[in-house]
Amino acid sequence: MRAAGIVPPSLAELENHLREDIQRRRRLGLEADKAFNDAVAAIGPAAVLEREFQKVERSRAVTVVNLVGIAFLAIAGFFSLMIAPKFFHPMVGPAPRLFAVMIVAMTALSWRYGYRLLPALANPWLRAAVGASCCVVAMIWMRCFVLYLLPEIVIRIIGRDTLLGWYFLSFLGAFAIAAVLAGVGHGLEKAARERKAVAD
Amino acid sequence: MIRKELVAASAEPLVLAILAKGESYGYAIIQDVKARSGGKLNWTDGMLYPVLHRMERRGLIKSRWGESETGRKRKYYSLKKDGKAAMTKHHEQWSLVHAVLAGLKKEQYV
Repeated sequence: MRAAGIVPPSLAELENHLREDIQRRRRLGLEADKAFNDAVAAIGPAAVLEREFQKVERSRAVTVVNLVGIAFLAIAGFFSLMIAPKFFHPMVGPAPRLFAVMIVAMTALSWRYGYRLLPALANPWLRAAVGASCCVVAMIWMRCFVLYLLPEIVIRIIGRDTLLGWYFLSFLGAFAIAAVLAGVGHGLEKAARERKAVAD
Repeated sequence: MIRKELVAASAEPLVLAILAKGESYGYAIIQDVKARSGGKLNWTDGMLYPVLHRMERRGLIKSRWGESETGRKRKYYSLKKDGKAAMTKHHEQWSLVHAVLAGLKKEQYV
């Protein structure tokens, strides 16, 4: 069974099952060999079990991608909260504050309702792959923002000292883009679940 | 013997109904189903576990590792709130199918 690719916790469960079934058959009076062979036959062919367990494991891959997405959201949320007090600075005008609220609201809405814009992909591997790719893109985006966009464009155009709010707003926007990208995996899973619920 | 499609479709509602009575584990669930159906609902034993894992992933049931009477590790499953709701839904749907079939059968003898 292990050779068939069934993971150890599931294997332990199957082993326990097999032991209990052998014991029951032995109590019914079967010889040890016969009890063992019958229990093995009853548990089913390893190839079929492997296929079924793999289906569940694939779903776990989707869960992992979702968790990575949520982790991204948490990190982006944490840093957004860190810069949130900057928007209360007296030098910050109403426009950056308004944009900041809009960015946060749009990010929250994208996580809540963005799945409606996403395709309902039936293949969980594909959903996991797309979600993982978006997380990678989110990482690349943050790196590009810090290395290239921030010094070359943001600071040069906006200016660090004069318009404080716009500077921090650019950070908030960058975090929001990363959070939205990281939410694609979660959205794809939700879109697939919705379609399945409708089909059921 | 009951067709395998029906056996597969009935797995989730049966597991939910058994766990509604209290915590149980894979082997006991299978034996319970076999006993209640007089051996006519014959699952391939190992196939129950992917079903249980999928149900757990969907938040219908939860599991914990405990000890059997012999001291060996054993995985126990129990129903969650969503599982109770799913069981009610299953019950309504299966009752509807049963009612329709019973009605049609009754008409045949009128």
